Amino acid sequence: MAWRRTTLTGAVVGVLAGRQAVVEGPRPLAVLAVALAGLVWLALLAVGQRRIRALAAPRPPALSPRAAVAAAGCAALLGVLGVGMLW
Amino acid sequence: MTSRDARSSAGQAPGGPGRGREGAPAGRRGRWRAARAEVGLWWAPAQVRAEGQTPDYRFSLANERTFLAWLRTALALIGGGFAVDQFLPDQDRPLRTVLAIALLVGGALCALRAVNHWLRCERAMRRGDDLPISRFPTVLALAVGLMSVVMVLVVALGGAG
Repeated sequence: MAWRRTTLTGAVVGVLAGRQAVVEGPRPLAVLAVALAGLVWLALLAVGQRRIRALAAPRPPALSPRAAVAAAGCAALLGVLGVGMLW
Repeated sequence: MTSRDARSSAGQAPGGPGRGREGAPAGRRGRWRAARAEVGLWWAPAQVRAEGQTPDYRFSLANERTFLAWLRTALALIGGGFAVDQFLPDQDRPLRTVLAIALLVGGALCALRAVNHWLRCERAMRRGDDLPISRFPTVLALAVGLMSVVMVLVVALGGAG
């Protein structure tokens, strides 16, 4: 459930990023940043889905540092792309 | 056994003898080296799992949920950055951009801190150490409060002007 909530929050950020590009007018850099934000969100979704499947066990294994870094990296990248869009 | 140790250490009052980064070298250079070692651990799951004993899986899951809650906080800050830029159209562009970028950068840093704190907690549980304490929640709360006050003033004064 926590992973689903997190990917949903990421989706909201992605929608806001898309809206930013539409409001500002379709500049090539902004469109590229939105496309990248979409890919980053898909990566977050993939990490989340993989972990959700791993959690469906009586004694689930601990989260691996790589998955944690990937999820946090996706969130950080969304922030960096946002800065790129506003710049 | 391990789980009981982890639980008892988690419940200890801060300021106990085992508090802080035990064994970390003192001084700025030592702190820098410790931070570099921690970032190195992000990419080395085997190294983390080689330390200490596997804690009760329920503690690891609780740590994971806390990590995800921090990640959502980071994403909320990033979303707030976009929202400030989009929903305050009457304000000066430079001021709006500064506020938005502050939130976006803050969100990115919050995400990186989330993974670092998760790893430190995981390692402390494996070793049976006290859980790491941090000033970050206080700093974040003060920064968000300050930013809210600034935004209220900006909107109020902008509306009055």
